[in-house]
Formats: sequence, C-alpha cells, structure tokens
Amino acid sequence: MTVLEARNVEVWSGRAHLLKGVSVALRGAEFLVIAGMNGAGKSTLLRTLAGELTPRSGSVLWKGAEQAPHGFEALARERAYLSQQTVVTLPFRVLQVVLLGTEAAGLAGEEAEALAEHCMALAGVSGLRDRTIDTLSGGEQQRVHWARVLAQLAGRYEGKCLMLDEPVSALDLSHQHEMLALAREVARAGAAVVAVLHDLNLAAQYADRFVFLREGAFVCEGTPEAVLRPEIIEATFEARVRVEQVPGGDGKPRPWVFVDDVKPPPLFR
Amino acid sequence: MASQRFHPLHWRTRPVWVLAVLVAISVVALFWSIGSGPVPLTWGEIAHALSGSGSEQASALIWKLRLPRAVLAFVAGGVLGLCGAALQGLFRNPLADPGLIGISAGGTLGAVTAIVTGFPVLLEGIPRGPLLALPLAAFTGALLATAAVYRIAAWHGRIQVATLLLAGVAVNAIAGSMIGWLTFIATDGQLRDLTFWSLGSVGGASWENLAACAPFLLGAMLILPRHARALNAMALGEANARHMGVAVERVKRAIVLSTALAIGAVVAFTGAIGFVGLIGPHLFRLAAGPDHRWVFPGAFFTGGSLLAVADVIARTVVAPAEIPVGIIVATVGAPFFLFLLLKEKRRGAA
Repeated sequence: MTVLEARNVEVWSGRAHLLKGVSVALRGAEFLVIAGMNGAGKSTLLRTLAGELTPRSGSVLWKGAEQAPHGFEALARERAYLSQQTVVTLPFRVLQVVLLGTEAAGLAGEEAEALAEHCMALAGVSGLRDRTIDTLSGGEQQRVHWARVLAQLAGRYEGKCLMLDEPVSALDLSHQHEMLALAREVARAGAAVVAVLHDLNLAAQYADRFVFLREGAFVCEGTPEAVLRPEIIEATFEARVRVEQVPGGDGKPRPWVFVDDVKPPPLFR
Repeated sequence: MASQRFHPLHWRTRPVWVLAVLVAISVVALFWSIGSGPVPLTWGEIAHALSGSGSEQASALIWKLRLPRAVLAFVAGGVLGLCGAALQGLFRNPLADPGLIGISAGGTLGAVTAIVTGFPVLLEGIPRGPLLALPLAAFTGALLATAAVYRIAAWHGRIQVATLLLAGVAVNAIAGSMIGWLTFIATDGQLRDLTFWSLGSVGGASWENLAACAPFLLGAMLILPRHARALNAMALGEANARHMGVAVERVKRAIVLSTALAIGAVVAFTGAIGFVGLIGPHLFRLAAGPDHRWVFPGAFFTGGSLLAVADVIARTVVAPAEIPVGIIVATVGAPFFLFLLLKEKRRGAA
C-alpha cells in the first residue's frame, strides 16, 4: 500500500532548481533508501515528502489525498521525522525530550511514561534518562531523538511513516547498525520507512529498495542487487567503483561496493 | 512511573516546590508592599482592612492607595515575566524580552510624543481624557511598532524569526532617534515628565487604570500558557515542532499578538520597565528547569514579586521622594543577571 507519494514534484529555492520532476512512492512494510551525491536533492525530496517544502508543481499525496496544510496534529500521530542533527535550545532532560514524542502521539500519563521508557531502552539511552541533553555527545543526542521519534509512532506501525534524514552520520559503527536494524524492524511491522543515507554498503544491508538522485533528477530505483552496479553508481556518484558479491551474515551473497584509491588533485600549485 | 515517589529536589518534583515557595514569596511581597509607606501598617491591620473589619482610616489608605499600587506592580511584573518567557521560547533565544522586538520602544515613543505635543491638553473636553491620554498614546505606539515588526517579518504567511529580531532592532533604533528629537525640542517641564515616564513607575496606579489594562493582561495570562507544550516542542526547532504536530505559524501569531497587547497595556500605565521580562523566566528556569508548563506560572510569580519588591524599595529608600522603579530594577537586576551568567558559564552550561 502506498502511504506517501510525490508525483512529478518541481521544487525551487529562488533560482535554484532543486527537484526536477521527481516521483517516488513510499509503501507500507518497506525500507526505502534515497541516495545520491551532495546537493543531489535527497534531503529536499525528504522535506518535500514531509510537507516542509511546497513544490512549485506536482503533488505530494498522503494516503492518496492532498495533505491538509493545517492537519499537523493528526499527521504527527501517523508519521515521525528524524533530522540529521537536532539542536535543543533549552536544557531539557533526556526523558522530557522523549516525552515530547509521546505527547505528539497524543498520549499522556502512565501510558506515555511506559512508552518513553520502552523507546529509550530500544535506542539504548535508558541510562541517560535524567541527564540534560546539552551535556551529551552528538551521537548520544541523536539516539535520544531516535527514542523520541520511535515514541511518536507509539508502538503501532501499520500504515505509519518514518522519515530519517541522514540519521546515522553522528553514530559509531555499532549504533549505526542498531539504528538501521531497528528501522528495518519498524518497516517489517508495517510502516513505510524512508532514509537518506550516504554509506551504500551500510544501506544495502538493510534497505528493500533504493532511489538514486542526481542534480535534482531521478536516476533509477530498484533493489540493492539491481542498482548497485558499477555503471549505475558511476552515473549517479561520478565515482569509479568495483562491485563484488560478498557473503552476508545469512551466508547469501550481497553486493559490496569498493572504491579503489582515488588519485587526488595536486595539493600544491 | 508516575506513581514513583521522588526526592523533593529531583528534577521532576522540583518545579512544584519552587512554585510553592514563589507563591509564598509573592504573598509576602504583596503584604510588604501594602504595609510600607509614610504610614506603616502591620500585617494584622492589612488583614483586617482587606476583610472589611479594619479601621476606616486604614481601610481607605489600603483600598484607595496601597492595594491598587501593589496589585499593579505585581501584575505588571508578572505579565512582563510571562511575556518574556513566551518570547524567549518563541525566538529560541534566552536574550529575548519585550524590549528586544521593539514593543516597549514603540510604547515609549507614543508616550513621549503625547507629552511633547501636549496631546493630553487636547482631550480636556472628554471626561478623564487628559488622564488616559498618555496610556492611550503608549498603547497605540506599542501596537504600531508590533504591527510594523510583524509585517516586515511575515513572508508568505510565515514569520521569519531572524528577520523579526532584526526588525525589532531597527524599530528600537528608529524609536530611539525619534525620542531623541522629541527630547531635544521638549520644554523643561515636559522633560521632567518625560524622564520620569521613560524610567518607569507604578506610582500612577488606580483601580481605573487596572480595569483599563485588565483585559489585555488577562488575555496574555490565559492565552500564553495554552502554548506551553508547543513552545517545548519548538525548542527543537520549528521544523521539528511541525513534525510533532505543532501548528507553528498559528502559535507564533497568537504569542506575538497577545504579548504585544499585554506589553502595550503595561507600558501604557507603568512606562518602560526593563529587565523583569528577561530575568523572571531565567531565575525560574535556573531553579526548576525549562518545561514551559512550569515556566509560565513560575515566571509570572517571579516577575511579580520582583517588581512588587522593587517598588517598595523605590518609594521607601529616599522617602518622601520616590525613585523611578525602573532604576531600582536595573540597578539590582543587571548585576544579578551578570552574576547568574558567570555562574552558568563556570558550570560549563551557558
């Protein structure tokens, strides 16, 4: 089932043409990864899907209907968004930040507290619950917001949507995998999950489908096996790569993208 | 978890205790304010007069002079604190206060214009005209300034916070220059009124004044706390707040407008009193944390007690003369604020 869909969206910022007629559909129970070079329009596409940017033409449909411009409260109960970095200007405690997610889900009292504790455990931040957020490292803060976003989904995932904008940039190796593995579980539980990710090998391990963008335009989409090919990656990322099949944890072969040493331009004039 | 018992100083219960202490301080401040003056009154006399059983002389003194003044000082301080808390939350900037976006400057310009042009004299035919002329002019000035700043900052239905702050700086500068010109052409007599007024005082308190500004103050007291949850979410940025279901533009409009109306009313009757809007919310947040559901009542009681106590000092220190309360607030408030900043900095959390 298509949960959220962009049809032929054109997005401009002043004179910059950020998205050139891009169409993408987010389906329930699927983990979609948007990838592309810096400035390819990945985050713009995600923000357009989230209703943050208004396309000049084309449309964004939530469950088949145009999004109501003032239906924020109702939408927040069905979808959640995690940015690359969230700056909290006031010294809230970790638990208070996560409770903001439960409030957005319309919950209060014991139910909200229990959900917040559960989501903090999922994100591995239970031990930080009484700390003020400004005393945490960037990666810890990101995991607190991950707990908040999970709390906003309120433990019911069917037909909901989870949007992640470069969610793992601040995280260490194990937490990157923990977050994406959990995001895939959210998709398995019925939600449409979309993430902007840079690390293709990391993404390929968890994604069901890729969408590649370049210079604001759609390049191609498909399963990791279908799109992780040298010619497609070169066309999308201007990078010379080798793709080899390596055995994954389940023993099945998985495409793995190798970039051989890049010859840099001369450092000195 | 909610049933779990916490230590009184645990962050979850601290706001309750701090607020309880503040309410107690507020009661003491009000009684102190009513009792202080050329004729000192004991708490017993005050209690008797308030319950209607005191001596006629004490009752008259309290009901006609002391009580309206104490109430105006407390409520004006409280509303300044409340509006400061709302603006700091809205602008995600701990330095925001009603002075910053030009509301107070607009009000001051209105009043100064009225004094120098002799506007009160023009209203002599109307009952109470001359008396209400100044507040009316200040209120109009505050509203015009807010409208200007708001129009400049609004773009396609969205309010750009950075533009709003810059517009506030510009409005402050324009109002300042115009006040300068008016001061220059003012006569000596006008100059005296003008200085006194621009430094702020609650000396003109009366039940009539209170009734005139009550709707605006009550409006802010009822509307602002309703947006506490929205402001908590907006601490994570406007985009995130929207993703969490907050109708950000509607919240901004409600806060800017109710703040402008309330501050316009306060400035109209007390002049420009700075610092309370800045310091009230800060003090409470330092003691009890940043949750706006507590900060709103907390900033109200903190600001109220601050101004009530400052007013007592203003009229007792050099009695029978009276110092403009704005001077007291700034003299005590500014160094104290610096002290807090330095303390925070040393804690590494500034």
